[in-house]
Amino acid sequence: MKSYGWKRLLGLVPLFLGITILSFAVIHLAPGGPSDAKAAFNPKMTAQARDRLREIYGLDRPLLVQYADWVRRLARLDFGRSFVDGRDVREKIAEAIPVTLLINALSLGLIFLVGIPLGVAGAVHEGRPLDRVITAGTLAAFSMPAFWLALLLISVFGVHLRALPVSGVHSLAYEEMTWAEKWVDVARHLLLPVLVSSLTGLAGISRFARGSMLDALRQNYIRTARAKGIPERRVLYRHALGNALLPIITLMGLSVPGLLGGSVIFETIFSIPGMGRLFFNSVFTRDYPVIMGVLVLGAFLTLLGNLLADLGTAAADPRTKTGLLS
Amino acid sequence: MQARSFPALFGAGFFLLVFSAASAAGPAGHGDFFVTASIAEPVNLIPFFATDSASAQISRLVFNGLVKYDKDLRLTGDLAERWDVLDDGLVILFHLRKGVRWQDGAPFTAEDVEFTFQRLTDPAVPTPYGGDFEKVKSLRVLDPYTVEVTYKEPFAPALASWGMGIVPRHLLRGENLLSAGFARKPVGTGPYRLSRWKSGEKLELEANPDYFEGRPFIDRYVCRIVPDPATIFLELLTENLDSAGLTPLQYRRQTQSVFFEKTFAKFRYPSHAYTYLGYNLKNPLFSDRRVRKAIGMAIPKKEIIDVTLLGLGRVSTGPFLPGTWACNPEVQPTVFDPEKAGLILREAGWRDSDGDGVLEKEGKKFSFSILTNQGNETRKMSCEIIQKSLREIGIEVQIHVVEWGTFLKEFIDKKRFEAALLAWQLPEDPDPYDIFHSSRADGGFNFISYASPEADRLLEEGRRLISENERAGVYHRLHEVLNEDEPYTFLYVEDALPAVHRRFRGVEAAPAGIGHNFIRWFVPDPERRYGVERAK
Amino acid sequence: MRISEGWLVVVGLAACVAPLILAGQAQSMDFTHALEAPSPAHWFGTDSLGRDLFARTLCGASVSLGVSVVAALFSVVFGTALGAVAGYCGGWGDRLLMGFVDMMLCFPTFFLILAVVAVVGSGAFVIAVVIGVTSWMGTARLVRAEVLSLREREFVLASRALGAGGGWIVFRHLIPNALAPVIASAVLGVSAAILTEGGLSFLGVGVPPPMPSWGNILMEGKSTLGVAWWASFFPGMMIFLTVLSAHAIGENLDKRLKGERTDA
Repeated sequence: MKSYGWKRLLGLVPLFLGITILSFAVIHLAPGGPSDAKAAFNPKMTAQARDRLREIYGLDRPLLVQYADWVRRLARLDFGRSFVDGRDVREKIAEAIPVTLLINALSLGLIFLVGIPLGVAGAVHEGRPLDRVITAGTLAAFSMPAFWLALLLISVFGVHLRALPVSGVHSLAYEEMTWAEKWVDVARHLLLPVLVSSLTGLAGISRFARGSMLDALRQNYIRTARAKGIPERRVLYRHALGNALLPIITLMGLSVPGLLGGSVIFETIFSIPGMGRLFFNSVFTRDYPVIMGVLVLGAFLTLLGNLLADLGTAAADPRTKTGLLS
Repeated sequence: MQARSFPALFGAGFFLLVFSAASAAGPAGHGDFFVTASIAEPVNLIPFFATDSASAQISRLVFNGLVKYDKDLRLTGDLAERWDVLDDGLVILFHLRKGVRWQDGAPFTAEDVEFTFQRLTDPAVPTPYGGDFEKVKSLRVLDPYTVEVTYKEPFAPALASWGMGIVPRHLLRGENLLSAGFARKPVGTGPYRLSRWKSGEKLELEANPDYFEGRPFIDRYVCRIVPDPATIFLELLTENLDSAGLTPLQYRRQTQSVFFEKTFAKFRYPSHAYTYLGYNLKNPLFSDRRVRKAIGMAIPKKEIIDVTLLGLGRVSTGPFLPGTWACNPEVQPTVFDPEKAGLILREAGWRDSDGDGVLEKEGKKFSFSILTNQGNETRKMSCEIIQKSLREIGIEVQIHVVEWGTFLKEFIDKKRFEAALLAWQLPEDPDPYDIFHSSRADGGFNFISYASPEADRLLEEGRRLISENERAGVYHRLHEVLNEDEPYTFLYVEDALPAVHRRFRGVEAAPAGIGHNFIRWFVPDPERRYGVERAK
Repeated sequence: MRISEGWLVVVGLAACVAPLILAGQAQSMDFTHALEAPSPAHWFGTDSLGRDLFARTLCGASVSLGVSVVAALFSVVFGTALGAVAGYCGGWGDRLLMGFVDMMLCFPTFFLILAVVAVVGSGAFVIAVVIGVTSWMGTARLVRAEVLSLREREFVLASRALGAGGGWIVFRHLIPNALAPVIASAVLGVSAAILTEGGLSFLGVGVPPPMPSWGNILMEGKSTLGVAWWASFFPGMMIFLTVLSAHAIGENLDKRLKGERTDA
């Protein structure tokens, strides 16, 4: 078990290098540079001023040198400074990441908490009306364009009923609130974003759980258990479910990048200052250090998620000793 | 020798006036917050890097220049109490206000002005405003409250350029401005002091109790960052914002409810920007003046305004704000006449010989693409109307919507574009030298490569003359030349359509907009919504 | 499931036919009838330039479906090729290619798409290719697994014994036999691509005007939301129903294939 963990970790090194190369390439092969975006069509920005910017950012050096320099600093966990406002990229990411992680963790939790029971219920009632309703419902939630759904929810709960805040993470008076009030305030603000981001993810997990549960139910040991006269409840929830849940752990790790990517959209609609917004803004201002920082960090988080999921599965299932899980 | 000096009393008198008008509406007292929203986060609050509108808006509240524009767009003193223009405009003598303090308590003196000037002209500081100060020969501090600026040659926009915010020497000396923490924690002399900046979420500014024009009535100015325009409007509807700019559609059709009319006051005045269609004059298609005139004639400007702006705008005839001294009222908008446009094109050799509805000349189809920047629905719709109108006279148009970074690099720098639909902000000083002078064609903002000896001469003269009357004559002529040459087809000047919560009193629309007297806005006590003591 | 297939057929037909007969109508502006509610003259109402939304929505079908089908094709071709080669070669090549797959899987795909589309420009074709290039990994894994299991089957061994080359075996035997699950995943890919295109439009980097796509019609509808519900309702519904149908069909296919295999 321990050696398996080490092997996995070692395998991550070339993967991580690949990630840095790709992150670097995507952005540096593109036309348009940060100095152009910064000039933002200001009639007073002279050509010399723009050249000056290029020099300051070190963009006049060969690509390979820039890459080597960047990776060297990355190894020391130094992401560089933003081209736009000169702040440390770590600082910018550190500001943006908590709220995105919180929302993603909450929605991931919600997705699994709701999705697995739905999928299991569907499997147990395979082909019956309940199964159909669940399938149709989760699929419908998946098929809605997220921003459409979000706007509808905002106009109903925020504008017409005035029951929930329209956007943002905190009320204006947040800083003056007591500890408990702060909790309630953040919860009220995050309700709709978490709902929207988890609704769209529900279909995947519940379908997966359903399939996995169905597979488990077809296994011989279930037939044996049933034949032995063990109560159906016990068969379903002890024997079958335990085995069905195992592959779902892996799925958890794999859903990280999807959720992270989707965050751009709902962070825009709900005015949430998270990673998605940070990335979007930096793409449009060609803020290379931030773009690369976010990409690398996002990939790193996914790697971490996968690793944890793998180790979790390995720990839970002695059969997995080697090999890739997919 | 013509010397001008404005007594400091002028400014004081102006504020007294507003003050008394305000008292009529009820007692003006200190309190309450003003909450507004910005689509983008400010980038840098240091005045000479604050080029985006979000930064400029906040920067203006924190910093003061030596001069500023008043509500009627006349230059008046700010940190300078008064000034003398000497030697035919070659020398400006600024007399600074005494007793002004930085927000950290240090006194403001001429040293700060000198320091600001040094940074602005320092080659290591990449500021877009450096060009305004290139013509300065020397700047001398005569005493702690007098600064003498000498120019190499008369430069009309000189005085206006001193509207640039002055930064504190004692805090920035020896700092690298690009990475200085000062950009996030600025200290100015202005009416508001930045107290909190939560990235991507909001900026909070507290009233400066020692402000030299008196403590502002509104205790706190909050700028929330709300990236989606649809969300901004919903936040306004739920009174979570006190002010926001409306779209024409919202102004006309979504703000008629009793609730909205009762809660918000709507304003309407021409914005300081014009939208135009610029032609790449290096392209053989557009080097013929007749072709440009014909296109201009075939574009239904009135219809564009009626449809995309729902009538909330006016036809633009040139690069000057309608109604200001530089704008020539004689220049009439081109009459929409597609038939005549067709005739002119025929005269220029374009005809539809193969009957496919598209004109040809020497075997080449008349087809070009219009570029516009992404994120502006009105411009996109205007492009679509132009596309449709030009198709009717046999010109094929494609539309390319591109994002800024790409736009500047690929299309403007490398001149790989045919026509572009864009807008220019109109600064208070009307000098359009950077936009139309032939010397600004390479690397500058005369990206259409316009080169007309007469326009060049007028542009040079316009910035050399000091007297407004003489300059007006020059710009009136320039206006005509541009209209005859049509390097741009000037399209429209949009109306600004802000809505402000009705609990704010003292809000007054003027040529400068509504924000000019913000520090005198107030909320009568019973109507206040926010306040530190209230939350406790 | 009949309904979903029927819907896709109708939309598919509309996508093929609409540009031929409605293209003119979809672009023709009538400023006197801007933002009109649905009526017998304009079934889906009109937009703020007075264009008929029924015609635009149908023409949008060809753009949206076109983009997503091209994207799915790209992803299938790319994924199948890589997966088959990796599975067949094994060893170092396999490890390298699967390493690449793992790496691509680590990126938040939407971030990558956004970065590329924002800087390269947002033509319909660019969007299709970028979506395709960032979504082939699942297919590659699928095909590799299939090929691995097929590689040692009798007919492949027989073919090899008869002297067939690697390329022949991969393209003649392995890929055709692994194709069934790929088709299922391609249909799912179409539905995901429609949503992605909508998301890009929302962020302002979708298919450029005046070409109508469901995403950009919906976006234009967003700015008139409080005035004209129809401008966002119909394109939104089209996306919803089409994604729903494609997804249902894809899952159905997948299920049937799995069923077949467990029966076999």
